Amino acid sequence: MRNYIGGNGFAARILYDNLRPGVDPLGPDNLLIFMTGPLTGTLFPSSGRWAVYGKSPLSTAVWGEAHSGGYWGPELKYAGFDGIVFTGRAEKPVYLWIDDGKVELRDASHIWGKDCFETEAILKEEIGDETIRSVYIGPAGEKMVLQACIMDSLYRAAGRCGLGAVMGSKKLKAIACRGGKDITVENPDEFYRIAIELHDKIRENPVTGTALPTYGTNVLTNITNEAGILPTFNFQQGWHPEAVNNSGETMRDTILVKNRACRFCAIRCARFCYIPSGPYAGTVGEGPEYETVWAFGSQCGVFRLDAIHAANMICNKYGIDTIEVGNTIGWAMELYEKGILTKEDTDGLELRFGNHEAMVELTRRIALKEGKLGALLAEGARRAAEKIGKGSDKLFMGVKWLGLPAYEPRGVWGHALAYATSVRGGCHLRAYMIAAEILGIPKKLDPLSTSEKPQMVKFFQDYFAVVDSALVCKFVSFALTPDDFASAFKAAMGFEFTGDDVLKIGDRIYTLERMIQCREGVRRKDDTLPERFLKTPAPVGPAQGKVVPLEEMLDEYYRVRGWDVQSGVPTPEKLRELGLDKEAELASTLK
Amino acid sequence: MEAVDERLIQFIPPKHLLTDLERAFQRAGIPLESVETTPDGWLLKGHKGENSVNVYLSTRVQVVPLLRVFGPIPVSKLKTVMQGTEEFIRRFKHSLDVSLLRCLG
Repeated sequence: MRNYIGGNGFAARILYDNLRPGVDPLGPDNLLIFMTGPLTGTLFPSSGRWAVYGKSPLSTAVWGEAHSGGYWGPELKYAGFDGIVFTGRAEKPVYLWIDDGKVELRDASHIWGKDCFETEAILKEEIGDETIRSVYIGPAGEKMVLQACIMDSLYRAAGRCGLGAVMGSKKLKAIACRGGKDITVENPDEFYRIAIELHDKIRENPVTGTALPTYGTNVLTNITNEAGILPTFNFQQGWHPEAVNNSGETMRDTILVKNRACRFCAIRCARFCYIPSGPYAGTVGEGPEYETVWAFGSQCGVFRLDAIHAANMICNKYGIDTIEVGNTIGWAMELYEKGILTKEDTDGLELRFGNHEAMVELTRRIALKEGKLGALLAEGARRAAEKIGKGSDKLFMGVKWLGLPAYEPRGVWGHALAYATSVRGGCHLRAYMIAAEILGIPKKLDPLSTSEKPQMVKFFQDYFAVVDSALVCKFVSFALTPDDFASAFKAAMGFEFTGDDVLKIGDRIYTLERMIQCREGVRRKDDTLPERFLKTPAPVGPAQGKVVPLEEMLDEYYRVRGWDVQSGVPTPEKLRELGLDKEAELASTLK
Repeated sequence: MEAVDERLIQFIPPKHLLTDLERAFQRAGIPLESVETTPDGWLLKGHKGENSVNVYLSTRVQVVPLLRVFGPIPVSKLKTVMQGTEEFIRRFKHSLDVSLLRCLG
């Protein structure tokens, strides 16, 4: 436990030891791992989280990982479990019922085919308890749509990497939990004192204490647009004059009903929004988050929150990842505008940027694998590009076949490096360099310079590997340092920890995740970006005329990580330094 | 030898930065001898043997144009002057990096 903490660390260890290289991600030999961490469900701030892991069917990154807030993670611990590993495949649809330590696989034939909202209601009614907490897939997961996610409590999603499709491949519809057990920590008085201190730090921070509660994650839209890094029209540019229509400020003034919070979270960044009139009147529910606003907004040339929220709610209802689906639709729109897709290919949809009706309708079709285009895009954009041809692969904005999220990398070079090197592919959550390059945390770095970026990316990747293993919300890391986590770990687990230990453990976990990739062939050649960012200068904004100087940052990045600069494989020496002797033996055979 | 590390830090209240800096001294094995209040902030001093370090922290609460949605936020300038061996300077800079590390996701 001291070496791997929980969450990501445990999952990496389990996958490395038990996942046979080369298995079909949608076959019975893939593992599907649900994890919590040692701080989940405790008094530690924002501790209501869980995560799911397995080999990704969507990306070529191998390592698949998705995190969620909501309510289920703590309930699993109260029911007596830190995590669950699923192997094999059920013969018929099932759901897992965990009742305070007792575990039962139940028939789910009557729920199979139901959407996420129906599933939540049926499970509560069937078990006869409104307080149970469940995670589940919708029709998208059942149909193995590769953008499928796993939902918690109606609106929170473990979205990325297509792990909802893995759950569907195992014919596992849901995991319902009820628990009444205590979570014990090693030193309760000390843990309580630390938790209070850390809550104060979060409350006193302007981001976690004020901005996120006031505007939610969508506080970012106006900022990223002004910085020229709000991806627009499938990342063709990073700015648009109408972006303000989609901003957190506009959301607060128009469709916001109230704040919501995940379990044990005082930040309360979630929005609950209602569309009172217009073509999407009656749309109601949690969200949209910043990433979703971008995905169905500027990425698709749509600048109206009602359509964005409608697409968001379709994703929640059917269980698909808003980032991946929005990225995919924006890509398809560019293909359509360039004549690579025609109206015949789109089943009649006029798939032009800004056509919000087409965007909302295509979201639904992808989720249900409906129509020619819906079925094609349900394989993920990059796979679809293999079938479409005509250079469409070059226009897919992703890394390792995972669609990029809401930051234009030509305007933030450290974040570009983070995209290229993230173990799960096109992802902003393993090293959020926007913190340093835009927000000035932990120190302000020039977004259009390579200076200090590789070292900072490594710091962030190592720190996040631990936060994702503790399984608390990443937002707390805006206010808390590795030393704060070390104090909490010590009080919770009873081992000695320092801030340096925290980062070394993160280094171990991140490097082990990398080895899971490397043994299936991932190398430096895969740690790259779409050609657009490397060869086509940004057309507008502060980065106008710039491309990403990726290669020079990559060289330095591998050096600071202790990975081979030519291949990108961790060196045996580095692996042994981290106590990964078995992996060092393998690394010595990889080129 | 002497080295200077300068960094601009936004959002973090100075009382938390002072805690971080105390940890940075501790992590680097340098006893913190004094924390003085200056007209625009704080001066932290420490030394051990031939190695010494002075850290100047000044904070203003202001609106940053790109980040105006947040309203006035703490904007801190941190200047660290390190004198001593090359190994000590490397160690103290690393200690600053770890002690001040925060991010967001």
